[in-house]
Amino acid sequence: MYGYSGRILHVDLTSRKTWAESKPEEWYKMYIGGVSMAARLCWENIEVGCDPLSSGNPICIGGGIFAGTPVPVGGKHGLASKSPLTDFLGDSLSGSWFSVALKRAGWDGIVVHGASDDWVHVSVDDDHVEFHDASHLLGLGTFETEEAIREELSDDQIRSSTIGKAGENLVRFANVTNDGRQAGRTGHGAVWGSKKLKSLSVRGTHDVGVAHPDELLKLCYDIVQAAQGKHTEKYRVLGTVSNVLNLNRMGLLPTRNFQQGTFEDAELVSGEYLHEHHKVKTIACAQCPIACEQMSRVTDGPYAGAMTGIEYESLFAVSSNCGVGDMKAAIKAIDICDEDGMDAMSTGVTIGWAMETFERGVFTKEDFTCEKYPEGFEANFGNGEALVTMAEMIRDREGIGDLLAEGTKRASAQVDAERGAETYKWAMHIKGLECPGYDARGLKTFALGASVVTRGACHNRTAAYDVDVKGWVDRLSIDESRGKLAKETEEYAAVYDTLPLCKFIRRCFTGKADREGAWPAIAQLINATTGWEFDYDAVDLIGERAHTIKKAFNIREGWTRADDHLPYRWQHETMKEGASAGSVVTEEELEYMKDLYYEAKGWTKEGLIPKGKLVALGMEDVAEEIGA
Amino acid sequence: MSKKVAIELIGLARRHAGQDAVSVSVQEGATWRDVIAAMGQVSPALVGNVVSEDGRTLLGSYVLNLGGTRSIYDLDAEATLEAAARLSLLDVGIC
Repeated sequence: MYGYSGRILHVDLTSRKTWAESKPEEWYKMYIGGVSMAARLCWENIEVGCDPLSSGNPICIGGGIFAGTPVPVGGKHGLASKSPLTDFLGDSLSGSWFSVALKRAGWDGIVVHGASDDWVHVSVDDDHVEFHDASHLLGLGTFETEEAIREELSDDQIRSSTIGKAGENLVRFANVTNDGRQAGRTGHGAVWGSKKLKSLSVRGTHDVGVAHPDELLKLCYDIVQAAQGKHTEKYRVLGTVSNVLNLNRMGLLPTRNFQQGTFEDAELVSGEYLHEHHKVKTIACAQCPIACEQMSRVTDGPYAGAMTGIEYESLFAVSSNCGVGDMKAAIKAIDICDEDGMDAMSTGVTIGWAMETFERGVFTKEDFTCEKYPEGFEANFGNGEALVTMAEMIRDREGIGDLLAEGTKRASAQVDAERGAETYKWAMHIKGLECPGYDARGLKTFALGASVVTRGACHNRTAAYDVDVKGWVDRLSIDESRGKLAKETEEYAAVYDTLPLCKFIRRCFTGKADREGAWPAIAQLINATTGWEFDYDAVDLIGERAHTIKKAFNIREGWTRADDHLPYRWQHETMKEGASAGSVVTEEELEYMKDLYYEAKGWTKEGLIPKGKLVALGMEDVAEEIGA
Repeated sequence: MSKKVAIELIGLARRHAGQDAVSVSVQEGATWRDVIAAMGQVSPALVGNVVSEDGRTLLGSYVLNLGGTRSIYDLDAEATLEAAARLSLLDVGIC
């Protein structure tokens, strides 16, 4: 078999045993890699119904089909576990040299079972797996931990995935970090922390064999040339933060916990401002010729020295969403999140909820006492120092940070129960995962797409906002096309998340980003790597199968139609200003669109997957367990 | 009879043009495509970067946006220019 080793590594932290599992080639043709392979490994290895922070929840890593090959932006891997935020599947991607090392070590994926009694870090050196005491690493940040392991193992080429203080403290939206990149969102860091796993390191020395190396090199040369040209210039020069002003103009930039869609200080937290005042350089993931991450630094004032890569999603969450127009405070808050392994989106949105709860009088200054501010502080919107301090308190679970570390859904439920409040009305999450930086009231197709995403509120797993913002449909109204569009855009995204390839390469195959422009080229890459004979339809099926295994996992964990919801605010409060003023997604609109979506997917009206549908996808064992 | 149309520039388009907005003159009854072509004539730095070499279309994921609400996708470009509260050139590629 080319492109794969045919082996999955299993590591049991409880017994400290390891073993190799062989997988047949047909299994790889079904699940490929990335989030799809990781989700399938979760399906096969989890104790159904387990607490996400228990030993029954496995850590599943799915390598990339193109990792270690010349294919640009293919140095990525998928990471999946049951999410401590959503209690459904949590799947993330990360671009890093870890993926390449995994492939070169001769493993297509890793499953970590059980839990350790004592803090441990695990190293994989080709076939040799070793368990190391990690007590000396506790309290170190993610980057420091990577450096410490390189030093400890006397190997500057070993690649580590690590957790920081947030993961150690079981912050439910803690990340796993590798090479400065984050496997973010659904709380993988807390899962690792619950197992007392500080780090997983890999060193690989094998070659990566491909079926047709000359053909693959030629294909890749052309794509790399395109990837360094106009198609990706936006990402390279300004990065994703260029979204700030675009979304502000459309009245879609989440502001003050999604109360508004325009921010009066948008220019001060824009990509343009960042580029002019704070950018140091652009950096790239493994195998990436695009380089989109804007490494930015604060050089003066109270946050001098803060430096990290800035993306739109992390930036909106800690700036406009918290009413903060101080870019320096925003960089500092994101730096804390990255260094200590915490999802900046969930951190910012949770802090936004806390700020609104303070402004509405449910929280008072006394709720915000901490070592730094023994008398408490005013946690109002626009207070950059409050933003930074709350990020630190969440990381350390200090004071009210212990509540906020539970995430918006759990924090609001607890406050409402204890204080007789209704903070759920401004708790901005779907399935427990905090919302991304697009106000879905003004993006009706995205509203549907976001409500049905298997991992909760996410812009990456549904590309449905694409058809809204480009004007292919009227973004402020609904029609019968939206179910099919939501299906097509989520499965389009799932193809990239499964290979995995970064979506920013999508125009670089032929100049066209749609299926017709990309799928034939992706089929050529797959075939040159593996020797398979994939075509357009086979590539398209990658996305449908990937989404189906994730959905099947959720169904087995108890998902019902009611779990495909939107935040209360998006359904009950119309936008009051800006270009999306007057917009809201009514209950009737959402339920109608969900009907359309389930029908387009070939599912039942209750959103369950018929047995015949699963069998047609080659997923007979899944059909046996959850088929309707 | 001609009329002036101002287009707000954001992001890379702003960097290429070196200004926050461009103002173009078009004839009564002009289409959105005429506006695109005029943008390239007024600000040649946009040609090849934002506006196609033939001056007829916007490149990549750029769209003209009317009042923040309505994006003028390429299929609509032959429609007659409407009175615009505010016309912006946005880059709406997925991030």
